Amino acid sequence: MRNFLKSPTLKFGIVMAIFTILPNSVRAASELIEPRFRGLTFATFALVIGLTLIATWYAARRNASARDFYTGGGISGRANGLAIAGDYLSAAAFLGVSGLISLYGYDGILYLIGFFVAFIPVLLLIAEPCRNLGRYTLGDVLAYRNNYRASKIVAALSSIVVAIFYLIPQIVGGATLIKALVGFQYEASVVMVGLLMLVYVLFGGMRATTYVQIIKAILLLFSCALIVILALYPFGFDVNSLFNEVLSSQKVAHHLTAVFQNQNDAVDGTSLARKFFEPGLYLKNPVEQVSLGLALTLGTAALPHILMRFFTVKDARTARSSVLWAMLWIGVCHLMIIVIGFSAAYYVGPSTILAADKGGTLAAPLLAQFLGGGANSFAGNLFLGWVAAVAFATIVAVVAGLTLAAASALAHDIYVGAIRRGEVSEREQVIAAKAAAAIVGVVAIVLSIQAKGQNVAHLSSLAYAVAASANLPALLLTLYWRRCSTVGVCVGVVGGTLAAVLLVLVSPNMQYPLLERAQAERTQATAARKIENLTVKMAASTGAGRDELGAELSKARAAIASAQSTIDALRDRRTSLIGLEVPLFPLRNPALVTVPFGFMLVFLFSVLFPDPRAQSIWTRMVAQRETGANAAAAISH
Amino acid sequence: MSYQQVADGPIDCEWLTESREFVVVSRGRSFTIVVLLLAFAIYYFALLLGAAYWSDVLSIRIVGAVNVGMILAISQYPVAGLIAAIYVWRMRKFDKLIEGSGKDTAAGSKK
Repeated sequence: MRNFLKSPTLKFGIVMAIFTILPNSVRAASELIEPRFRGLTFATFALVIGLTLIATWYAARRNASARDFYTGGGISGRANGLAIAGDYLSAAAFLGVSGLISLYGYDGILYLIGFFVAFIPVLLLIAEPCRNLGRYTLGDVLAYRNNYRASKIVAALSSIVVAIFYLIPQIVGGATLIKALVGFQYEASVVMVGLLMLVYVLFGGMRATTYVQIIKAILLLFSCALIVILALYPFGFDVNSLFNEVLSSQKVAHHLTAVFQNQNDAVDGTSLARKFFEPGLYLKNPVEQVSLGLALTLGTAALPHILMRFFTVKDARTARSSVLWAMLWIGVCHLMIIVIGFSAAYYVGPSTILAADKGGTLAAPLLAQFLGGGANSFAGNLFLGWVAAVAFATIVAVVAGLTLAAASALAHDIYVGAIRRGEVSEREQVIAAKAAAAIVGVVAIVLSIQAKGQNVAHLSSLAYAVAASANLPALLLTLYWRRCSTVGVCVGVVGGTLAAVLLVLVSPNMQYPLLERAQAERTQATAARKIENLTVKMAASTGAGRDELGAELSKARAAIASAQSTIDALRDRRTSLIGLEVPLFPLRNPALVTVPFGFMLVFLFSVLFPDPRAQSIWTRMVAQRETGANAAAAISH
Repeated sequence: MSYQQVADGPIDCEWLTESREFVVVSRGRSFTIVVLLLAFAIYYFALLLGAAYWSDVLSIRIVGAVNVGMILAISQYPVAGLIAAIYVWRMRKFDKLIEGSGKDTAAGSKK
């Protein structure tokens, strides 16, 4: 991780980091809060968590049936929209992207937009048909006209894979946040996140999870708004004058000079600050960008915890208005995150943010601390603690939604559907759902503890890639293509999942000891040259300039030491996890290849193995897809 | 329990899918969806490709720090909102048509 910033080729790796807060990167955060303010942070965490637990207790009193457990018993479009926003706005957007924008300006915005526009395919293609055809899960929709058992099993497996991939970085991120700001051990923090999530899911089911999402969404929006108001107040709430100040900011210019020095690009001094508002500081590989855009826009439409939200409302029209409300809140939050990013660059400065965390994930808490009055003030630390607590609530809420989605795939699709063929009493269904949630929760906790010290951030972009290349082709073609068959769906889901996972295993996401060693050695050589230059300058300079040169000198020495520790950590390993010396596949996100591959598999195997039954149900499915309950009622007459 | 199981074999709902209103509504819906999807895909991927291959154009200044790229990026939000609004407006129209025909068919099926 350490060397990503210095290497343009590896730089894209930090993109993955923004999905989460990297375990080794937030270590510096413990220095953010002085010990005497620790209790304060702890109190704000306790307050936010207490609020969500009260909601769970309230929800638990009203849960009874399996339907209640899975859907929360039907809620309004406005509430569901807010809950979707809660499910979707992860700490990655709030902490990660605001940090990216504070460090790289325009490219951070570019990255954020994909997460918003992804809701257009959800709205246009997925939300209403799923509501009309499904009950609790993706498997229900696929099983409508494909072979019941087969489609339920493959849909459940890929949903669980997606959910687990997405869960681990979230849990690791939440635990890291607790460790940094409250001071618990990593393992204890993971168990705490896991237990909290299980409490929401087991006792409150979908209803409590929905309440938690809504509370979290409101807290997040409120906190963002507070930061934005405080940050824009000195500018008379004029965003443009904030931008102009960023343009002439010494802190930003200084940071950009350093960035361009590391990249060895020649830059005209006068236009340097403008680069902050132009593409190219962070995202270097155009093909990679398109691949990531594809994964986000198509993957969101097939994420199990987002799909699940459309089964919580009573009809297609409510599903539609849910997406609209969700887009409104997500859009508002994104625009505020953009302002937060630029404000952090202006007030805190990119070098301070970079010093606190290499991925920039502490930009928003640092900005809150600054706006509250600084590192030594009570209000500043209160605000920082508050923002961190909201970020933590954000993580736990996302984790709870994912666990519920994975648990419903396991219990409803595999156990109740495929194994028992639906012959299960209401009471048994609830027990199965809770047992499945406990299993998923424990597996996630164990995997997250195993992941200590590993770079797990790329797992969440893998989750999007699997959703886009396995779930989406099967879902779309089942919904909109008459000749789609069971074999096509099964091969597509399994093949799409395997293709995405395999390509990531041979991609630059993995650790390649030889490359890392070479990179570290280059870093050392550069730093050594720098030290030579600085020593010469040091001898020639007098007075004021010496302090600055001294600081540069110790920075360069630190770079050499950290590169050496990277080399030491690699020991004599030469190959990656699966025995490669260099990546075989150039893209970090495989969607550009695997999405067409997934569609092709479903198409090819549907043509090769046609399914007369699936085709005979087509007309009926179209009727129900288009009209929902009306048609179902009309047909049953 | 009312588990959702679909009976095998063809089920007679051709009366619904072949009704004039259904065909009109269904085609209208598909047309709206395809057009809006295309609009979305073109506008979003224009930003991604633009940032990658035409950064000169995106760097053209407009006022202060604002350049073409900033406008193209930030405008993704209102444009996506507009696409969603058009979709909802069109779907409401079709919902009304379906509701109207639903009453007819419900009355008709009792005959």
